[in-house]
Amino acid sequence: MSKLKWFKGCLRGSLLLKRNVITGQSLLLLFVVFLISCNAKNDTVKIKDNSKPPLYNVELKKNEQRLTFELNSQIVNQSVCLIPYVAPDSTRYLFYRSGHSNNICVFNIDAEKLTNTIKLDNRGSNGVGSIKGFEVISYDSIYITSAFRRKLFLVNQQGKVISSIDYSSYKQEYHIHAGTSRTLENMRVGFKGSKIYLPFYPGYDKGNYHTIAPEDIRFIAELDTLGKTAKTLNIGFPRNYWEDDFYPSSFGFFIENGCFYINYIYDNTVLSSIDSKNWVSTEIPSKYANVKKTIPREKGLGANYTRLVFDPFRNVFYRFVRHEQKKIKNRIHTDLVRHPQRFSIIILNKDLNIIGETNFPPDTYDPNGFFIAKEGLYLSRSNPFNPEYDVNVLEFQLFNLFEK
Amino acid sequence: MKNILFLLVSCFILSCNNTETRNEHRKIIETIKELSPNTNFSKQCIVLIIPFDGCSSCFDEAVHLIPEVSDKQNVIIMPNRHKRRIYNFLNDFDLDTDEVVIDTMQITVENNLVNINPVIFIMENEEIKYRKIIEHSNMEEIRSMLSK
Repeated sequence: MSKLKWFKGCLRGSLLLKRNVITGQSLLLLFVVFLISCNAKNDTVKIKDNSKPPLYNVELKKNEQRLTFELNSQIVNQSVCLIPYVAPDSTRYLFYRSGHSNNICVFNIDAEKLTNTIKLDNRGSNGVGSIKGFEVISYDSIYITSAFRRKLFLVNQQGKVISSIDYSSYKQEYHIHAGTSRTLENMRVGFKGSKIYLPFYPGYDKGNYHTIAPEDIRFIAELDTLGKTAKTLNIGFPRNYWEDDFYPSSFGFFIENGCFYINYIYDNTVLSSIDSKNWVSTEIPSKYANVKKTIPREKGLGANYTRLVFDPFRNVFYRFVRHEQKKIKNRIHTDLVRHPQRFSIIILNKDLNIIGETNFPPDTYDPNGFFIAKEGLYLSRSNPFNPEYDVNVLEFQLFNLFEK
Repeated sequence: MKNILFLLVSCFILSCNNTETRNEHRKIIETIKELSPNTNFSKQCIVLIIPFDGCSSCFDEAVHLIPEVSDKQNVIIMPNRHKRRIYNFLNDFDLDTDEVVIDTMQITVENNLVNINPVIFIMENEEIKYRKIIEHSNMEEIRSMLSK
């Protein structure tokens, strides 16, 4: 009887074991499937080794040279989008969107004069809607992104629409509406081969950010103009983006020398990629600001990395840092956003290694108004809180890079 | 005894709330008076405040109300540091710039009359009778209030 019990026990045990083995295999299979599915969601992101300390041996120094453009009574002295352009005959122009209007002013940089105003119709047969940003291809061909149209418009110097790319008719799984491509945060339209890349604001706020994992957010559209297809790049926000608190899903994007760059405005991370599939993540923290520290609106404004830009003349990048702003009497929240008292610029070499960070004096410059030329970085002095501010003059101060 | 105590506490809370609302309303009226000193606030008056710092989708609906509100007795306030931006905008829509008070110091924002979204007030005898944030979902209600 006892032998029989022992035999039955063994049999039950082996069956359980067998069942366990099967369960184990299933689990392993599920785990592999899970891993594959995770990889399929996002392209690869390699973290760059940042064990070497930054050098901080370079700085931006004020040069006495200034550029002054007189503004007529129609032009708003508020930098929103600025793009320099060098014509084939070496004439240098600055394309400047007047306030948030549909007018693009073209200044001759060397003559310091307004040469043209491109007035874009909002409505009608030549209408482009409310413009958000632009990209200068040549003096006579400018790509326009619009707030409410799923189209990219190509206009000439008279503001006439020459052609348009209607990506609403493209085959797409994700409803692509890149109405927020603009140059304020350096969200640039990118061109590579037959493809056009349009960054768009994904629109997550305090009310809905729990509905998505940061790595699943999509924010760059890829338009294949030959295949007439549109999709989004498989890259999201850093996995731990909302770990401590909510931060707006703001970013900058541009393509330089065929390489893609993403600047997370509320994160130390910058991503770069040669093929838009394999990305390298680089930590670029400011010495002076902590972008992960949130500040209640009534007390001021938190820090952020307003933009990342490339300086092709010196082969360096500039990462603009808006520092934490305390509430100031007679200044509203948007004043703190638009004209921060304290800001700095991190200087990075071509491999995105920090080589310097320069602080700027309060209430002197407008960090949203800048452009890069062969002689250096021009920063706008058109800050309404600068005692020398003149509503009729758009003025830029030259800054040069120096080794310490 | 307990009931009396409950009544007293309720009265206290209610009176506190009332004082708070009264103070807030006084501040709103004082701010509007400062910007538009010639307006007669003892009669019925509509005050439309359209901030220009948000994106155009935030203020587009409110702009359509300008011709309806535009009247000497009413006040239209546009807070923005850049006066030209507002002038250009009004000219684009063929709206009269003389009818608009431009709040370049943005005191309406500073004093919390408005934030990003436009706001409409209907006032009578120096009191706020109606106050609404102007959004697409509220337009029907606002229009019916204006037609009264």
